[in-house]
Amino acid sequence: MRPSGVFDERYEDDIAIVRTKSHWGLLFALLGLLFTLPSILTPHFLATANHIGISIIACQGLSILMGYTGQMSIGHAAFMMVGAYTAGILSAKAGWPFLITIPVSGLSAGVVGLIFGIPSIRIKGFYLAMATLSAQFIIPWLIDHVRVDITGGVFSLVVPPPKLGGIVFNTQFKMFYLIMPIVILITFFAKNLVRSVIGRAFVAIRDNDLAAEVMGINVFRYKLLSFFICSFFAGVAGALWAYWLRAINTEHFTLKESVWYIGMIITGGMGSTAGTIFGVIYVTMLDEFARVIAPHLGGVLPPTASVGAELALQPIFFGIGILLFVIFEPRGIAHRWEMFKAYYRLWPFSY
Amino acid sequence: MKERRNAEMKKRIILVVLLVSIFVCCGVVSVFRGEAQAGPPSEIVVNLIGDITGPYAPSTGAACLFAIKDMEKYINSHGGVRGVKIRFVVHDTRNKRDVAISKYAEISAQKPPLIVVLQVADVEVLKERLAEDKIPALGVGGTDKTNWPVGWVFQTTPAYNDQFALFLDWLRSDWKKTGRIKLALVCPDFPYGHSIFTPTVDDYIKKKDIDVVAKEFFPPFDLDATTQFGRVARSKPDVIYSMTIAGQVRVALKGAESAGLIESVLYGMGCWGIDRTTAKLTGGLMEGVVGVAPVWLPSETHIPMIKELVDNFEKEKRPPENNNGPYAIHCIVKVIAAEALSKTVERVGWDKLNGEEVYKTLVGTKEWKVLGVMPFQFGTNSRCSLFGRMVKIKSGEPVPISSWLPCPDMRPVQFR
Repeated sequence: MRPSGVFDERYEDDIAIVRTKSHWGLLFALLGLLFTLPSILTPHFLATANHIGISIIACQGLSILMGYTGQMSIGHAAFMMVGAYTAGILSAKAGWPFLITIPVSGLSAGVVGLIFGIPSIRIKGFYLAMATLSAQFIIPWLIDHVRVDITGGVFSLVVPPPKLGGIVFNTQFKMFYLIMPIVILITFFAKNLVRSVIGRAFVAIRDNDLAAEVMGINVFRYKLLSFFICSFFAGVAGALWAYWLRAINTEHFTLKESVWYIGMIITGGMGSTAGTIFGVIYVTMLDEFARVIAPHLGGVLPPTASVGAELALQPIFFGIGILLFVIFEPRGIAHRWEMFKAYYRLWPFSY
Repeated sequence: MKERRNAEMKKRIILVVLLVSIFVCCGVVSVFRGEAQAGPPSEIVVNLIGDITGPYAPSTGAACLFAIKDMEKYINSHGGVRGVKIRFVVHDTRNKRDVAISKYAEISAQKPPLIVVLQVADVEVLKERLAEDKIPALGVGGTDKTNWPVGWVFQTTPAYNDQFALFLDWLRSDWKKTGRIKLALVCPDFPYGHSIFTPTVDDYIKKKDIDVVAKEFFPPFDLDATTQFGRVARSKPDVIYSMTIAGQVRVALKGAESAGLIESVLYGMGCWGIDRTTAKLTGGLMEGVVGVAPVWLPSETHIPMIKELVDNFEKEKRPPENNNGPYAIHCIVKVIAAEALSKTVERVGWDKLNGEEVYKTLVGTKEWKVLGVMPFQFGTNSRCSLFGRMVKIKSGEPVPISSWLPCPDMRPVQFR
């Protein structure tokens, strides 16, 4: 739906993401707000914002694979692990600068993702999920047991903080300004990719892969491309994770993390770039909210001889929050956002 | 035209609301940002970062929370820290490093004089930051990775490989067997399990005329290790040693039982495994198991504090098995935190109490008598406690079979 009184006079207007002056104004206001966040947020929430940024990058990749191409992957955290260890090893052992390690990490994760994506030509749905699940077992095992002199094995690999022109990114404040531009870049890339020929091919495969093939789309090629892009994003996210935490371990990238990334894109709305951002923020902030509210809920519990019962309420509250959301808005926050925008554009004359 | 103006107006209103929201947020955040106070505080807060409800909860969950409750009560009723009440605030990470880093960011911004970090994995992530921020941290057990090179993390139990070396000393000198001893190592595949596999320990094993006849690992959260123990049985060991925690102890001992090894071998275990709770969990399989206890035992009620704690357990009708080894380890870290703060305040006063001064106190720790009984000191150029005691499980209880002994130094060669 176009804003009232706005007409597309050129083809560029028709395909523009940002259409009006107000849109541009809002975009700059949001960017301004984003880049002033570090001076507003408490240290805890600044670290959380960095975590959100990394998760957005990872989830944008997963959204392309699952939301747009309709392929399953429950090994996303394992691909992040590949990126994290590539960045970690290259910077800690070989002294490579982070400007090189980040794309290289993306590429290495992309190649590994490509390998695990090969079964997608033969299998789909739950069977493909099982195939990608194998990444979650094979990759950590290899890192933990093969060439432990390089990977650190079961112990963490210490990663030096990234440096750029004499600036050492060793605080949450500085890391924010490293992570957020990459988040914006990746989001912009994802948004544009899904509107391109490639994106349309992805959507065609998602909707009906047989019909897509009949139309001349090379299904295998595009499925693999989708796996590559998804894993590339995961690799970049993993590399940033390594620089953010400055110590990496296979334990950081478990199956649970993979499942949560899927949960984030489902909550946000599958097949939506904005929805992915909403989903990551919603799930992360719900977790934060659960942490704050849980101690106050302790009073409702019957007295027991045990301690820490209120802490147990935290995951319960968090779980219920997700459950209710999925029940009442299965199409995700992105759908609500679209509804709000439609309402706002017509307000107050909805007829 | 009018509609268009209305739409423009709406957008302006939204922008204004957005800007106002930002300023309100700024105001709210600045209200919550407290300023540091000079002079004696009304209370001193020690923050703990650890896995309370995650996968390591069996050793750091209830044990840590009971210890917080009891130690606050005990320390404050015995004068607190130079008359100031101490309060321990726990930050549950659920074994997630992103949560640990966020919590640390929040805590470090307050420039605390001391914090406690429970998980080895968290220490690995925070070690460099602690040194940069000049915040000393107490931990409850360290590996080579967390201990070397020395930093701002102080472990209140001996390093795991040092404890293992003490077990080897005992094995060589006090155990019935003479001649070469055949040792099998069966451990879970995670940092604690791997902590004893270091080149220095390998050399020490050889020096003690001990042959390692089998090395096996099992996944840390698996429920069965029969296959691994089957392979171990074929190597006919005299001794098996496992670095296990909580439920892993049962997995290991059941595996050993199914391979027919329980009766024929001596079983040794690391400090988080040899305990009355795990003894109860294994239903008698743990009888005769030997290991190192780095802190007091729950049965030592002749120590006034332990008597008080045991009485409190009974009074509050808590399950007695919660008064266990992990609980004691978590109590000790709090006693040492209070002691370190107290000694620092005694030396520099409240006004100069900061991380650097507490660090100096901890580095200079020598011959502390924790609770008047337990010897405690950090080794030369080391950040780990030095002393441990050999214990054996008898009738489901760990019983001391040696006096307090200094653990052999298993630091990596490059740090000697």
